[in-house]
Amino acid sequence: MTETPTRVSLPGSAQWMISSLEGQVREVAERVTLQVRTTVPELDGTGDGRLRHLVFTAIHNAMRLFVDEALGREVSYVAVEDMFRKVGYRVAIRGRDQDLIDQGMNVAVAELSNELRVRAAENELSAGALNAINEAVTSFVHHLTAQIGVGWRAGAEARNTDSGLARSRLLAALLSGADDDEIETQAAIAGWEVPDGLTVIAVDLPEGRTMPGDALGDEALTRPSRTPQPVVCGVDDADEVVARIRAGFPQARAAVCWPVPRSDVPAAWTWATRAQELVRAKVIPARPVIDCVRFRTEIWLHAEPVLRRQLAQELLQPLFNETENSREILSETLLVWLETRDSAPAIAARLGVHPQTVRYRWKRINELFGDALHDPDFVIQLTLLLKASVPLWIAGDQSDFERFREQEEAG
Amino acid sequence: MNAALLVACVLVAALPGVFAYAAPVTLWVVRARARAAGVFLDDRRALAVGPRVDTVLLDRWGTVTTGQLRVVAIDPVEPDHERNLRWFAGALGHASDDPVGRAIARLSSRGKLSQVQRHHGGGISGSVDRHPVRLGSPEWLGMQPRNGVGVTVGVQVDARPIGYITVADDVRPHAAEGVERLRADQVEPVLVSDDTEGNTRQLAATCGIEQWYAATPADQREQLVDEHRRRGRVVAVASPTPVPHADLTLSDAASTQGIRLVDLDVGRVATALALTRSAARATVRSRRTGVVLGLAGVGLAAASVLSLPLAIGYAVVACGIVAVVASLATPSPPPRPVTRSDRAPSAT
Repeated sequence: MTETPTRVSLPGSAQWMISSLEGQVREVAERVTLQVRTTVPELDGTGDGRLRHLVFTAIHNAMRLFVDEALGREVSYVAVEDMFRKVGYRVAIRGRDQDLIDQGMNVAVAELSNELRVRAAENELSAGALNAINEAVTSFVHHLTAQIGVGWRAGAEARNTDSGLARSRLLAALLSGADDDEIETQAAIAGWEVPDGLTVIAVDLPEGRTMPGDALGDEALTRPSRTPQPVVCGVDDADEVVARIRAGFPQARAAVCWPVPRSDVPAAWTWATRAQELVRAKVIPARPVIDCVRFRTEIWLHAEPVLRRQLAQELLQPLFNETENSREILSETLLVWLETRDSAPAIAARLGVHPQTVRYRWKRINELFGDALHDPDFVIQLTLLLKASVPLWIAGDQSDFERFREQEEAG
Repeated sequence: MNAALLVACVLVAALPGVFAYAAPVTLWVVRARARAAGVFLDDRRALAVGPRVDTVLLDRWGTVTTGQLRVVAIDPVEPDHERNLRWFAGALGHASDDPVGRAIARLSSRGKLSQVQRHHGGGISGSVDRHPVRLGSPEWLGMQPRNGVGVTVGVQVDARPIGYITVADDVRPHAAEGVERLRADQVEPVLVSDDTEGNTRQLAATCGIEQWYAATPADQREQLVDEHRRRGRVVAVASPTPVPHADLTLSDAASTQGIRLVDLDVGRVATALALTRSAARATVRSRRTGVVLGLAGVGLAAASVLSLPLAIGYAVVACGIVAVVASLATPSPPPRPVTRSDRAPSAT
């Protein structure tokens, strides 16, 4: 990959001077790094803390390697070489020129040379020894610069040829809630500027079908490997992206979450996928485009399915002794009453039944629940529970009832 | 006066007698009055037989009753269930095609009804506003049977019994008066019913009928008619379904045979028979009058008392008198139209 580094070999006086530097490697490395950042601010980037840290670590480790080798210790170049290649890769991935790195290296070398000159004067080092040190440093830096070049070329190639993968990584980073540095890095690789407000879409496609990563244009990030397939785009582009989904994939069903900041993308993905699950459970009506904001209550209420099931077993026990049909219509009526507290004719109009039917059901409900309906806490829990459970029951989910039966038989 | 003129005067003066026999004035008048009373006497044979009828078999459906049943008792298993009983049973009753179901249907409006099934010998089941409802004999529903007047059905909602409903004949408010009028006209009313003995006895007693036959379906009524005829009775049958062996049929169905009535109200039956008697009497009276006036005219013309103009005038006046006598066929008063206020108060 690169040429083998020339071994550092210094005269005794030079080694003695270098040994005086040994205890201050970190301090000098920090000063050199600061100088690089100050002199070549473009290299530092805007708030790219990871690159900043990488640059400091590379300088520090390189200085440590140089000192150890100068003092005749056994060293390995592998870690330092790798670190400098990473610096080059990162800079290239961010779309910055290699000249910036060269400028940074020149600044670093100049700063280091000043340090060595000062120390040489303080230690009354001979000119010959100082020249030996300078030559060794120049050779060492040349080798490291070559490593940076290798990394930069790899990064530039990746940037030019791997934008689809980069977009997938950015999408994965957004959905997994990666930190801002990681997202910025991936965004830079992908060449996709992350807007402040994002729309997350969960797309349910027919079995065996996927949307290619570039199917929705540059504005949207998508990744075919998940089910449902995630799509993330800027809030302003959401309508256009949804239109493209509908045009290109007529059999797909898209659950479009409401706009969220970048940090809430993982939660928005959870909500959108839950909306798709609720469509499958027939709690949410199956339409080509599910506007999640309209079903926020359902998405919220179904966030804890196990808790809902346990509460149902506890609070709705009187209903579980009824037939499936009776349970469904009594709970439906009870829920409407809890929500509206309307008169029998008003509830009847809402349910599409006769007022006397509602009075009959109310008599049955009172027989089943008795005084518990006068307990405000019970009523609140019951309201939430029914709101979550009734649509499931209406959709044909009998698991609550079956579980109750199993417990009855076992108990 | 020459002989030809005399003969002409005699013939003209004899016209009232001819008129009395030839012109069916009585028939016209009776038919007109009968139509006003809801009786259609289009069958001449019926007019001939009607005056001789001395027994009338009254079908339970439509004669002494309105032809319908009505709810007479609602007995919920819990007092709170009375309205539920009315609502659910009434709603399901709308899907029923038997008289009991139709009576119960009047308890409530038509609801959202589905999955209706009729169970032969049991009852009817269906879904009212998605609640399973069953309406039928208490035995079929596994409920305690009830004995009493009328027909008692049980009602189940959501597989739970909620009560009983009893229906019975809706007796016409003036049925007893109609029966009394028949009897006053020397016609024996006989009640024929397809209902149980107890119910038929109760109905006959309510209407003042002494002779009744229970559990007699339509196909057994011919035998009943034959039996009465063998005893020398002239039998009329008032029934929605015709009985061929009867001497006279009174029906509310469109038919060219017998007497057609707008309904089978026993009062109207009495009126129809009274009209036939009245018509017979009026016919005899008008013919007698015509003969007497004709003979008187012939005598006066023969005695040359009547010149030709006077004979013509006499004939016109005499024919008018005959017509007036013919139109004096006065039937019994027709039955009053039944109004809501006439109905006996029901349990509903």
